[in-house]
Amino acid sequence: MSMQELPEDNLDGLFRKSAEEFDPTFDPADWKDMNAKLDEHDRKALWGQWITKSLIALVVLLFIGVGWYSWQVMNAGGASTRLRSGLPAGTQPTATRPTSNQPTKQPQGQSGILNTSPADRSPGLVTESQPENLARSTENNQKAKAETVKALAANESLPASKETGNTGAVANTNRISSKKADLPGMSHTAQKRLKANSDNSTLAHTAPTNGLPLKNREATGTIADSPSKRLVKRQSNRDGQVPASVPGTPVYTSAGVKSSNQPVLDDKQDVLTKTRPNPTVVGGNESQSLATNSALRSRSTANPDASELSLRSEVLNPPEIESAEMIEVDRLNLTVNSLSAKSLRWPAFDALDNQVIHTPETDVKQPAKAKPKVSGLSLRALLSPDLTTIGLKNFSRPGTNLGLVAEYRFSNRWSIQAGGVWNKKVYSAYGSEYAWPMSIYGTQRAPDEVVGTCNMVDIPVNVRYDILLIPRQSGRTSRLFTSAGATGFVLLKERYDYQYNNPAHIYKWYWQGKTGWNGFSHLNFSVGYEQHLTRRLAWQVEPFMKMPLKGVGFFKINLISTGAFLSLRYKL
Amino acid sequence: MSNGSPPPALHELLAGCLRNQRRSQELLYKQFYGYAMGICLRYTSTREEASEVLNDGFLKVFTRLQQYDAEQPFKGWLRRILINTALDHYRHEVRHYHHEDSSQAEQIPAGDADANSQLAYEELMLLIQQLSPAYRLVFNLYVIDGYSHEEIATQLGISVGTSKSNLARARESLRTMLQKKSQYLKSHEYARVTRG
Repeated sequence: MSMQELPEDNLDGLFRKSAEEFDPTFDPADWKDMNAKLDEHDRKALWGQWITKSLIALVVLLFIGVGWYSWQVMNAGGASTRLRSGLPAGTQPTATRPTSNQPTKQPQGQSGILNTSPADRSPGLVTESQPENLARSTENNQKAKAETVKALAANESLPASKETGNTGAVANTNRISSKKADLPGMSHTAQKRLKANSDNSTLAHTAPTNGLPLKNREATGTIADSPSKRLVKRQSNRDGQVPASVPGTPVYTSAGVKSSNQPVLDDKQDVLTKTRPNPTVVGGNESQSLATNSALRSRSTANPDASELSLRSEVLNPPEIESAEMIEVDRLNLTVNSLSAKSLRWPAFDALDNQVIHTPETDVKQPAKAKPKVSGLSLRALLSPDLTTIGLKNFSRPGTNLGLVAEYRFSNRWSIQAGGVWNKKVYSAYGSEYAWPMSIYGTQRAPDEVVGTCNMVDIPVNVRYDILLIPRQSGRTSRLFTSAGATGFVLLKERYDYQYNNPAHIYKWYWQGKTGWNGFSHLNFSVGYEQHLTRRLAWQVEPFMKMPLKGVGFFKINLISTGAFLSLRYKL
Repeated sequence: MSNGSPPPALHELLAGCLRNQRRSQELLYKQFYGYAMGICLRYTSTREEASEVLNDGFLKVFTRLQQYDAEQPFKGWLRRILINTALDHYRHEVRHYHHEDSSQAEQIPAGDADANSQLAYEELMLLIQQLSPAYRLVFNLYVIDGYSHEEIATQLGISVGTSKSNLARARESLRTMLQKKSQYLKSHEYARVTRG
C-alpha cells in the first residue's frame, strides 16, 4: 500500500495505535532527575512551611510575652497610680508625724495649744466642734491678715490641693481661709464644707472621736497645703501681725508674741509648718512618732484636758525628737528671716521650691519599693529548625523544635536550665548506620535504607555560662554565652520506611510504633547571644548541636541534631 | 506496632505518595513511566525535552495528588496532567521554536523497521516528533488524545480554522514522511539502516 494513498482514517488509526502501544523503556537517569527535583521541592516547601510556622509561633509568643508584660506593667502602673493618687494618704503618716512633734513647740511659748478648750476635743462631734473652733478663731483674727490669707489660700492652696485630688485638703484650706476671713458668712461656709468633708468616706470613716486627731488629719491632708499656709505664716511675719492670726509664726519669730486664743489654728498651723521639713526630720523616728501619735489619740479620748497636757510634756521628752526639732526650727528661722526681706511673691516660689526639694525623697522611695523584684528564675519559649542526620553529612529535610525551658540564675554568669522541647526529626539511615533488630526480624535481609520520621520530646538539662557581658545604654546587659549539658529523648511516635534496592529483597515496608524514654543519650553544646527587650523580656539566638552518646529509637540510630534556637525569655 | 504488607497496589502507592514518601513516589513513577514517556515523546521534539516534561508532569502529580478523584482512572488524570504540562512547555518555549515546513521530513533517517510489515511504533512516534511544534500539538491533541478543534483552539490560543489547517498540514507531512520512508526502505531492499 502506498503511503500517499493512505486514507485519513487509516493514517490517524496507525498513529493512534502506535501511541497506545508505544512503551519506552525506563531510564534510571530520568528518576534520578525526578528525585532531585522532588528533593528541591520538598526543601523549598518545608522551609517555607517552617518559616511560616515559625513566624506564626513567634508572633504568638511575642503577643503572649508583650501581653503578659503589659499586664504586669499595667498592674504595677495601677499600683503606682494608686500610690500616687494615694500619695496624700500615703504621706499621712509622715504628715501626722508632725503632730507628735507639735508639743515640742510648747516650750517655746506656744501656750495657746494648751488653752484649747475641752469642747474642741469633745469626742464624736467632729464636724460640729470644728466649726466652733473656727468661729472662735475667726473672732480673734484681724481682718487685714485674714484678707491676705484668704487671697493667698484661694490663689494657691486650692490649685495645689486640686493637684493632689484630696478633698480633705480643699476643705482644710477653705476652713483656714474662712477662719482668717473673720466673717460669720465664711465660717458658715466652712461649716458646710466641713460637713461635706465629713461626708467624704475616707475622712468620715477615719474621723476620730476628738478634735486633735481631726486637726492632725486636716493638716496632713496634703503636703500641697503647706506652701500656702507657710506663705500665710510668712506673710504675717513680714507684716508684723504675726501672733494672733498666724499662730505658727510666733514660735519662730518672737516667742513673746503669742496667740493664746487660737488653739485650733495654732495647732493646725504648727502641724502645717512642720509638715514641710518633716520628711527628713521625722524619717528616722517614724515608729516613735507614730507611737506617740497613737498614744496621743488614746489619751485624749479618755481625758482630753489632762491627757493633752501630760501627753505633750511626755512627747517632749524624747531628746532625739527635740534636737531634730531644734535643728529644723533653726533652719526655718533662717529661712523665714531671710525671706522676710523679700517681696510677697517670692516666698511662694521659695516654698514651692522647698517642697520640690523635699518631696522627691518620698517620691523616689515609693517607686523603688513598688518595683517588683526580679528573681533568678525565668521561662524561655524556644523555636528552632531541627536538622538531624547520621554522621555529619546528608542533612535532609528540616524538622522543628518547639519548647519551654526554665532557667535559674544563681550567679551573675552561671545559670542552670531544664525543660522540654518537642521536636520532629526526619532522617535516613543506610546499611551499617542502623541496628537491624534481629530479635524481631530474624535473619531476614535488612533494607538498604531506613527513612525515619520521629516525633519526640527532648529533655535537656544544661549549665550555662555567660562568657561576655556587654553593657548597653539602656542599662541592661547583653550576654554572650555558652551552655553544655545532657539530653534525653522520649520517643512519642516512630515510623521507619524501608527501602530496598532489589525488589526481590522486599520483606517489610515499614515499622511504626514508639519506644518511649530512651534515657540520657546526647550531649548538648551551644553558644548564644541574649539581648533584653525590656527589664523582664529578652530574646536570644542560640545555635546548638546534640552529639549522640548512644543510639535511640527502634533502630538505635546515633542521631546528630543541630539547629539554632530562637527564644524569648521572661524573667519571673 | 504494625508491620508492613507485601508489594503495594496502586491505591497503596498513591497513599504513600500522599504522605510524601519517596519510595512510593519512585514506585509510582516507575510503574507509569512507559505510559507517561510515550505521551511526552510525541508532544516534544527530543528525548531530553520529553524527560523534562515528564518530570515536570510527575512533580505536579506528586504535589497535587490530593486533587485526584480516586473514582476516575489514574491514567486519564496522569495523561491530562502530562498534556497540559507539555502545552505549558510549548507556550513557554514557543519563541524558540520555528515553524518548519514538511521539508524537514527529508532529513529523517530511516529506522530499523521491517518494510514489509509497518514501521515500528517507535518509528511512528519519531515521525510525530519531526513535525513542527504547531502541527505536532494539533495532530496529537486531535488525532491521538481526542480533543476537538474548539478545545485545541482554546488551549493553544489559535483559531479553529488554524487548528484544522494545522491538522491537515500535519497529516500531509506525516504522509510525506511515511512515503519517503517507504521509498527509502524499498530502495535499500530490506537493508537495516542505523539511525544517526
